[in-house]
Amino acid sequence: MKIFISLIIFTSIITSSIQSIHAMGMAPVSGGQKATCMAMTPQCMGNSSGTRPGQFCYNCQYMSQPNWGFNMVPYRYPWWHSYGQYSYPNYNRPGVWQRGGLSQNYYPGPGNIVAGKPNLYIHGSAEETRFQIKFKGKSNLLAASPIHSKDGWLFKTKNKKITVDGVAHDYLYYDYKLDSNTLQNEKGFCGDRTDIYKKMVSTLNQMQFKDKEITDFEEFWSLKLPKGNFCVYPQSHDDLQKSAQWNSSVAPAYFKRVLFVVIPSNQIETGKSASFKKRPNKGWNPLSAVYRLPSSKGALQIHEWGVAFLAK
Amino acid sequence: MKYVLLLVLAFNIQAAQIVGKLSPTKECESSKTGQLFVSENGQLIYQIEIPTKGSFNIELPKGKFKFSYLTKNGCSFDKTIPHSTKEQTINFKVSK
Repeated sequence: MKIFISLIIFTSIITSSIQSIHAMGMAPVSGGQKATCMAMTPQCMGNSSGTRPGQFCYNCQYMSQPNWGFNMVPYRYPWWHSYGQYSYPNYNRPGVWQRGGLSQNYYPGPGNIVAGKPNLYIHGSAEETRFQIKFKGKSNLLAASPIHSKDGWLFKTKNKKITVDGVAHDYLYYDYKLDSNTLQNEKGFCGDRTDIYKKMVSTLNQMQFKDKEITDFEEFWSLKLPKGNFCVYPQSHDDLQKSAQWNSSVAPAYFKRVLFVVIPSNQIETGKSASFKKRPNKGWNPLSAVYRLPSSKGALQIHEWGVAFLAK
Repeated sequence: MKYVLLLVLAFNIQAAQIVGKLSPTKECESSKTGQLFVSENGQLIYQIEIPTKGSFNIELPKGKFKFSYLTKNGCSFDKTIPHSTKEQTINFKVSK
């Protein structure tokens, strides 16, 4: 009887979610149409104006200085830094940090990974477009701005701004929980806080994220990465669609999507690192997370970066 | 299937959404954006960039959460909100 009731509930959930997607005219951003980029050509990367050279980094040189003082040129601190620094003891952590990860209590949900601050940038002009993150399996939304309802966001783009409910945004933001078993765990890189920061910035440069998008990354993550040694397992759109599926009423012509999963080395050594049981044994190709949809007639281009940690 | 349902139920019992909507006073309308800091007992849980007319939704467990917002030109709010496991919508006035 219990199994029968469960089946009915499960079927109705599936049916209603399929119906809601069809009602909005949305489709997953993938299908069999997309192609990953093999070279950094404009035909493959889309509009790449305002991008940076491969190794360009504002904060890297200052992060390597162990004891920089008043006579040295400081970081490019954001205006909110002083307030945060003096108000919160864990300000230099990605959130409520414990035992090498983010607190399961404050970031609820069944998944064992917390994806912090995926920022979603949209380029090209678009009329009313519905864009939804559909959480699958053990994943769930934690936070979003503007409000991400069950149908997602309804936006327009104009003058390089994303407008939702009449309010202009530089990017759409969300945090979520997900299951590590849906992610790749072989490719990546390891190092101390400075090394992995440099490598993540360099990866975004190579993927030709725009200068402003990487500056946002630098402003936030130069201040939020804990000290220590880490291994980073970058995830592409193909990996992430299994947990946080993009559904859009307009198919983007080009898109790039990366989530850096940052695991403390000591957690890997002690076997407390979810499905990331071994250090990465292969490099990760940044171009493998840059896609184009040859069949798309639109001019929309979507870029997303994010950083994730273990849930503890 | 039983475990999936149990998991869903457990998750629903533990947390609920806080939906926030910001509205600036006239003197704060010119500031386009600011930073929202969400904390409990001094521990920073979220730091989010939000326009002064923006909105957000956050899934939080039961507790008493402080929402502090600041713009570059000094518009702000500070509000502590008790939160149960029931969804609630809060309006925040951004002012000087």
